[in-house]
Amino acid sequence: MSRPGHFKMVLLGESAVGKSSLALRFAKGQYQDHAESTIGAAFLTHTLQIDADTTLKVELWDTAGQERYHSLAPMYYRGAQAALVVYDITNADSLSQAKKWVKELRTANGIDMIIGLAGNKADLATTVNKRKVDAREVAEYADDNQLIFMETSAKRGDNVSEIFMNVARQVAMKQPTNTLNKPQGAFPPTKPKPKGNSSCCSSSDSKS
Amino acid sequence: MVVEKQPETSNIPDIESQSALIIITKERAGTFTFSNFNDREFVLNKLSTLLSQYSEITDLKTDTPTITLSNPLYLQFNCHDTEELQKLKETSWNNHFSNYGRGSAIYRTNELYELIFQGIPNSLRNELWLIFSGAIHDKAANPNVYQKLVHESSLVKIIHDSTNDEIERDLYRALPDQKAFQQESGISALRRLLRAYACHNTDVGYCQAMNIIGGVLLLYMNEEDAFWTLAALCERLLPDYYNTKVVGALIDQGVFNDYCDEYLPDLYEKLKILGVATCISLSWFLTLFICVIPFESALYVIDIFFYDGIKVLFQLALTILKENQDRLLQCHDDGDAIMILTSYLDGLTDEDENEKKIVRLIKQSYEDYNDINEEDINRLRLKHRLKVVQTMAESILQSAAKNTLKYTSFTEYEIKDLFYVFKDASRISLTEAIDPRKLAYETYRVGRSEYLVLCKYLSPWFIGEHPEDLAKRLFDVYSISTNSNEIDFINFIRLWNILLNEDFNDKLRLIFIAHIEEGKRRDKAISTLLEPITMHPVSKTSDNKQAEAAASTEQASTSVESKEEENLKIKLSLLPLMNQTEFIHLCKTMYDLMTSAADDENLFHSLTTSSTILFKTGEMCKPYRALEDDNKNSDETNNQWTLSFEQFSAAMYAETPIVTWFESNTQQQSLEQRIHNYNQDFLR
Repeated sequence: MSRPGHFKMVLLGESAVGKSSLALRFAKGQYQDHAESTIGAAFLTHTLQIDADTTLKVELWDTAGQERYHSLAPMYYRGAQAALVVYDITNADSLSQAKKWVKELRTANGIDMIIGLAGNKADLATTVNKRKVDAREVAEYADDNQLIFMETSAKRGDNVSEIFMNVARQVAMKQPTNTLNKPQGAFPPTKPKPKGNSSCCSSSDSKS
Repeated sequence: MVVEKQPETSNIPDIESQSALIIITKERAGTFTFSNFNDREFVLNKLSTLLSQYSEITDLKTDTPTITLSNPLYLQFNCHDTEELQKLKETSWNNHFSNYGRGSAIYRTNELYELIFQGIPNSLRNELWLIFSGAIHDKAANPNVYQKLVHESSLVKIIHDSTNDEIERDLYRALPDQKAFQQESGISALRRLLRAYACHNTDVGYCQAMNIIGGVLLLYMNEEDAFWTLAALCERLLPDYYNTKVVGALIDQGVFNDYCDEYLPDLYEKLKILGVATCISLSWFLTLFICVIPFESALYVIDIFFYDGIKVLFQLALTILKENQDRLLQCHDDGDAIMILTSYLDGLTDEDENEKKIVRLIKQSYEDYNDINEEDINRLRLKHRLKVVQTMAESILQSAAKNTLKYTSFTEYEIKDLFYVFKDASRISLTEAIDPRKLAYETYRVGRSEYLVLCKYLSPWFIGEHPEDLAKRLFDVYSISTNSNEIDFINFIRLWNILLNEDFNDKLRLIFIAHIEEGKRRDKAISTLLEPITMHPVSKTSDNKQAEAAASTEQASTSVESKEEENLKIKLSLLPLMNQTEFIHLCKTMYDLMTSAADDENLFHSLTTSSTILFKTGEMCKPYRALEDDNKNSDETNNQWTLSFEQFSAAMYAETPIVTWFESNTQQQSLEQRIHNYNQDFLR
């Protein structure tokens, strides 16, 4: 038996948008109200069952968010097949930061990289006036830039495994499992199906 | 107070004065003589700098309100070690104190190492961290400064807003597992500490990791002592680690790689192949291991780190790699390697054979790698600083090119060349403080005098009589957005784009705008130039629609309607009108600019003709404008000489020699040649 396929994925986004919380929810199913700031970067892995006969190990690099750590990011996204760029739906600035990351990733790793865009802290959307970013606009942006977009809540677990799963599927689709982690980049970019669900309450979109 | 060599005195005959140091204290009129210094110069210098930092302490009457500062938080919240163990340690320390002295004069003995290896007791951490880190001197030299900083930084908007935001976001994320930082008392102490430091050292401001380290300091030290220790860390013990680019940490990664290569060559090869050599230990250094090993164990590292400095981190990191060498060598990929290390580091809690794992590890690191010393580290740092800075410069260059490309018709290659020159002129070092909201390249700016030098080499308009006049006007236009009498790269490139790439009309527009001097109109004019291009179509299309609508009714036009249409046309111009004085300046500029032209007879004729026509036009427009400004605050322009940009450009277009001059002007010298000339003169 050969080892299960695996791929490298990097988490990027402004500080305190919930990168580490998403990673923790995804890898361990846990949530902490206050996670320790990530310094440098942290590493986690989690194995996903993509379908009946494919498992994929996700090797997740969780990076520091503060701008001054920006110059370290290339160390982690270099050679990564996928990225999850995270913003906070209650902080409009964090979205522009996220767009900056998308741009940087596209320039560095090209169109072949699978990029997910997570609008995190969706649980706060129900609190009056907390939401500062309109999901429809982001969905449009995501569509234009071929991003897998979902609003997520690491706190409640909404859409967390879904977005990771969707990213993993795209990665798997792009490259046969046995060649994973040896990026070839010969495949034409497949158009992702971004989900324009604007609310956090829909758990119905976990497509199979 | 002055430190200098004591003049020859007969009182102390036996001492060889060349190697002696005599210190006279102010209060207890005693004289201390220290002799036989090998490094007398060094000590003397140290003393001089230290003393020069002491200001004669007059009673600083501070009207700052008294703020209650926190005591070591561990006193209030749980402490982990058992009472007996603490007592035991305290006893050993007290014995050492009675034998070898206490306070900053404490002797460095071998016994001291052994004591520190076992962990400093909680009750002594405040005192010893302060002494070992050297912060005790900073504190003594700056009485009341912390209190003042706390007060200043509490007046929120003093430091950059975003810094406060960043601090606020990270307070609860410092040491979330420590009870002290789950409650308001601990959190507000940490807030005061970090804000005060950001205020104290704006170059560093706030960097993630300082929340964690600051948190640890507050657990065992009182607030003021924690502050000076944090300062010592950021400024001396971890040089440049937390500045705007975490350059210091990157440099030390390079140094660490060198040591790996030297001491563990096989493993280093393997790590390089796995692609983890550069990033594996970054957070170890950045957080003094606090983030990567269990908290209790990290305290042992911090104890010895304060005592022995940066070498401790290198030694320990090497030891950790060595401990895992066999397993790491068998790894298949980077993920495996990191998981091996992570689980190893997580497990640094258990005790084996009565000794904590971490204690054994630290001792081991001293056995295996005690050769590593600060001098050596500094030498290697020098080499890696250059590398790190070069890499950064390259990435800044890339980002400058990629981000400004869309505003101009320059090629990427040209932009990079221009940026290189611009950066050189700005004389800003790569590591200087930057605005976190900006991309690195955006922080480079040039002032007026550097800009004029650039003009001399790069501007096709720096010719004729008084070329600085126009150059300065253009500087004023493009420096407005920075509010600081400086021009940033994006505006620099926009300006040069017009000078070198844009058409006749755009150039005329730029000259026209640069000559509108009166406040409100000037702001309006400049905003049309600097606003993102996307802003224009909106207003334009609505205007165009009106124009179209007006055109369709033209068939049935009466004299009244045609007058309305003309008004409409004037309004179409986004640029404000120019007054007579401004126009005279404009004419002068045009003459100055073209005096050196070969074909100047025709050119001057054209200039004279056009300016005469324009003078008349301005005169004729008086009554129209009076009609147009039908209401309020129109007093100034009412019934005055005015000229619109459309009128100006129409007159210029009519004169072929002027059009030709502008065309050939750009082509006189290629950008490449211009940049080459600059580099010849300024870059060795």
